[in-house]
Amino acid sequence: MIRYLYISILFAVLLLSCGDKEPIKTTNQFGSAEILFDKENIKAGDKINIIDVKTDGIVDGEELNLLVSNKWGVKVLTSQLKNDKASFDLLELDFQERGEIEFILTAEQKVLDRHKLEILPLSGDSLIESFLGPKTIFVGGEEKTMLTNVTTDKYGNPILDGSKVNYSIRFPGEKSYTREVEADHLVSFIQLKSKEEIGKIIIGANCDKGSIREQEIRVIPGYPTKFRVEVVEWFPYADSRQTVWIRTDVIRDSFGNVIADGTMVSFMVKANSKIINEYKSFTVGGIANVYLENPPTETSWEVFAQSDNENRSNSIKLDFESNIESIAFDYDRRKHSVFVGPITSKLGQFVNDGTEVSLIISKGESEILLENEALDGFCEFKLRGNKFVQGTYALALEVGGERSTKRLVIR
Amino acid sequence: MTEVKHNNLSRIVSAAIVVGLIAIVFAGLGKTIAYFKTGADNGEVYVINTNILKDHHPAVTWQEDQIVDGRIVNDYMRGDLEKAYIEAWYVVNMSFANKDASHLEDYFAGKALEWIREEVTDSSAFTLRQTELNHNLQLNHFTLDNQLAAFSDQGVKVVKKILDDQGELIYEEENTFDYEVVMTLDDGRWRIRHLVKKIGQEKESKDQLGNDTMMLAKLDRMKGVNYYPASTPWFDFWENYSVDTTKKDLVLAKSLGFNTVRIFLQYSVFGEENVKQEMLDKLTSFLDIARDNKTKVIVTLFDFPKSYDLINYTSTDRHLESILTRFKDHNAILAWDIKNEPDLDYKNYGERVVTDWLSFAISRARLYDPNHLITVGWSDAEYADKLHEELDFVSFHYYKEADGLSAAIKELKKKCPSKKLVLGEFGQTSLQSLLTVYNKSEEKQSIYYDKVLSTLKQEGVSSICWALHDFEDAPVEVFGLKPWIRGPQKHFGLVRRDGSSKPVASLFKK
Repeated sequence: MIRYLYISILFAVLLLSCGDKEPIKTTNQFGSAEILFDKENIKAGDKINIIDVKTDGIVDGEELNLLVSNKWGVKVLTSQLKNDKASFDLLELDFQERGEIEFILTAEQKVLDRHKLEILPLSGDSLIESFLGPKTIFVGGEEKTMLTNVTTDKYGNPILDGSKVNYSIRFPGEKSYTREVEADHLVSFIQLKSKEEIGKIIIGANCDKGSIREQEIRVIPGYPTKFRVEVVEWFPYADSRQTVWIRTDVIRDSFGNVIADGTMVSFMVKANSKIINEYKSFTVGGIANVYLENPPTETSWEVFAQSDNENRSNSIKLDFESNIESIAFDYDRRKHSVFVGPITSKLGQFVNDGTEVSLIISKGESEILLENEALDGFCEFKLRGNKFVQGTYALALEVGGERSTKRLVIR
Repeated sequence: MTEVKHNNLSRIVSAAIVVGLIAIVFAGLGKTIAYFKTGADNGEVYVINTNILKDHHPAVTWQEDQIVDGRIVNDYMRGDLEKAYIEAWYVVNMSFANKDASHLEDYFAGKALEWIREEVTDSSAFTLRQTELNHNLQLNHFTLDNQLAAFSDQGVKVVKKILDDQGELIYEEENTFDYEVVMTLDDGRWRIRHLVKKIGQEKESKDQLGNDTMMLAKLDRMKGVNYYPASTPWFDFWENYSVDTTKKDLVLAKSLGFNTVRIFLQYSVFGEENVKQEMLDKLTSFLDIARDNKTKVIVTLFDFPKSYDLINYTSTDRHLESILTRFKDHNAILAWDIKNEPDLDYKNYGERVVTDWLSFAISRARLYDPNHLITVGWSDAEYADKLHEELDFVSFHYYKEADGLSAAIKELKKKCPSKKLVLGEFGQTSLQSLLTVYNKSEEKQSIYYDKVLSTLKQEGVSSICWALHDFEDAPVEVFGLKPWIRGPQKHFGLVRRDGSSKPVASLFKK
C-alpha cells in the first residue's frame, strides 16, 4: 500500500522535474593559422583586396572568420579553409577612417592570429574646420580670442599631430604676419589679444592646399575712462512736473576711442546722503543722457553717473526750492468741510493737478491725517462722521513742502 | 477479510492517483502561468533607457588638464562634457545591439556621425554587443568661448561580444584602447565631432594567489561554517545588522571549533553599483569583530544579482570596486566568493552568459584586491571545474547522499588537478516532519555529518558546513512558498533556536 503511495508521488515528482538540459558544446582542437598580411599602416582610402590565411593542422572545410575591428564596430568576414589556405575578400570594405584597426582570425571562438593596422590620414589635400570665438573683444590687450582648427584630409580625418598649420593675422592698422602652429591632440589653435586700436582683426589659416575663409574679430572700444556729467537744463522748483536734463561728456576708453554705442551708464540721485534713485541710460556716440523728474518738495540732490566698471563721474548739486507761492484754505460750516485753494506756484499758476495735499487735524494729543490731491488748484476735505464734534481744533495744511496753519472752532 | 483489504487498497491507490493527477494539473497550470509571467526576454534589456545612464556606470577619472594656456575649466562645464561623452558611449553600445542609428545624431556631429551610422546600420547577420568599463580623461584644449573641447581618453577597457544570427557567440574580447576626441557644443549639446582610436598596449595581470603557500595553508587549516544570524537570516542580516549578535555568534562558532565563517552580501541590499556607505560600515564592523575573534571570513558577493548581461558589467565593476578596494587590506578576509551557486542560473540566463560574467567579475576582483583568494561557490561538483584556471581554489556544494561524496571529489580532482578543493556548503536538516521525503532527525543529521567529515578527511578537502544556526524563518523570496522546502531549510543548523547545540556540533570539537 505504502509502496503505491511512494510510486505515485515519485511519478509526480518525476514529471515535475522534467526539463530541458542544454547540451554542452565541445570545441575542436585547432592547429595554427597565420594572416598573410604584413603592412603596418596604409593611407586612408587605400584598398585591401584580399587577405590570405595560411593554416597548419586545421581540417579542410573549417569555417574561419576574419574580424575587422574598426573604430567602433566589428565587421565579420567568413571563408572556408581549403588545402590549408583561405582568402577573405575585403573589396567592399572602405579603409577611410584614421586610427588603428585590427584583423582577428577566429574559428569556433578561438583566436588563431591577429594583425594590427594603422590607417593614416592623407596629406596635401587638407580641409579645415574652424571654430572662432569670442568674435568681439574689447580693445586694450586684456581680452583674448581664439581660432581653433581641426585640419582634416578629404575623408574628414584629423591630420597627424605635429603637422604644420599656417595662420595669417592682421591687426587693425598693422601689417599682416604669419605664424606656424603644429597640430596637437587633433587640433591647432592660435590665441590673440587685442591691441590699442579698435577695428577688425582678420585671421586666416591654411595647411597644404586647404585654407579657411578669412575670419573677423571685432575689436570694440574698451571700458570707459573718467568722464563728467553736466546739467543741460533744469527748473529749480520742486514741482514734480519739470525735468532735469543731465548728460555726460563724450566718454572714451583709455586709448581715446569713443566707447561703444549702447554702453550702459547709471545716474545716481542722492538726497540727505542716501541714494534715493538710480536711472539707467545707454551711450550714443559716447554720450549718455538722462531726464530726471523734479522732486515734489523742496530738497537738494546730488547727482553723479557711473559706468559698468564702477568708473564714477563728478557730482552735481541741485537745490530745488518750494514751488508753492500761496495756500488758502477755510472751513465751510454748512458743508462741514475744509476747502483748500487756490494753491498757486511761483509763477502764479495753479499747481499741477494731482499735487498731494495733506491736512493734519489735531486736538490735544489726538491727531488725524487726511490726504487729497489738487485739481485745478483746489481740493476739499470732508469732515464726515462724528469725529469732529464741538471743540477747538488745530489745522495744518501741507502742500509741496509748504505748511500753513489755522485754528478751527466748531460750535 | 481479504475482500475488505482489497477494497481499502484500491481506495488508497485510487486516492493516490487522484492526488498525483491533481498535482500534475496544478504543476501544468503553474508552468503555464509562469510562462506568461516570465517578463522581459534578453533582447529587451537593450532598450535605451529614458534615464539614459541608469544602467551604465563606467569608472570615470580625470587627469590633470594639459590645456596650453593654463585655463581653468570649471566643474560645471567639465561635468557637462563628461556626461555627454559617457552618454554617447552608452548610445553607441545600444545602437550596435539594436542596429538602430536613430539616437546617434544627438551625440555625434559631422563626419563622425556619418561613419558611426554606417557602422551601426551594417546589414550583416552579426550583432555587436559591447560595453566599456572605464574612462580616463584628460583635457588638452578648451576654447575660450566654451564651444570646443579636445581631450584624450586613455586605457579604456572595452568588452565586446559578437553574436551570429542565431545569437550564438562567435567572438569575445576585453581590450584596451586609447582615444583622442574632439567634441563641439552645437545647439546646446556636446557632440563627438572627431575620434581617433589606438589599440592600447596594457595587458591586465591575471596573477593568481593559488600558488601562494601561506594562503593555501590557511585553506588547509580551515574549519568553516556558513553564517546568518538565527533571527535575521538572508535579506534581514545586513538590514538589521547587530554588533552584539555578531560578537555572540562568532564567539559561539569559535567555541564549536570553527575558525572560518562564510557570509553573503546581497547585491541589492548593498546598493548595487552605488554601494551604500552604511553597508560598508556594517561589513567593516563584522570583519573587525571577526579579526578580534581570530576568525577568518569568506565573503560571498553578488547574492541575488540583477543580471549577468553585458550592459550590467559596469554596475558589476562599480560594486566590486567599492567593496574590494575598501577591504583589500583587511586581514580577516580569507577569500572572496564571487557568486553563490551561479550554475543554478544557467537555465534562466544561459551557461555562456553566466560564465562570461563570472570570468569578467573574477578578473576585475583580482584587479581591485590582489591580496585575497578568489573562488566561486558552485552548487554542484559537476560544474565546479568551470573557470578553475582563473580561480585560486575550487569551491562546490554537496547536499546529496554522503556515500556519493568521495566519488564526486575524485571526479573533480581529475578535472582540476592543480587546484585545491573546498566543500563550501554541505549539511542536512534535522527537521522531523512528514514534509520531508525521508524523515530526518538530529541523530540522522549527526550521522550524515560524520560520514561527510570522514570522507573529507580521507580526501584532504576542507569544508564549510551549512549552517551555524537553525533559523526563525526561511524567506519566501529565497525559497518560494512551498512549505516542504521552507520547513526543512530552517533546521539545517548546528545550534537550535534556543541556543543549545545539536549532537552534530560535537563533531567539530574533535
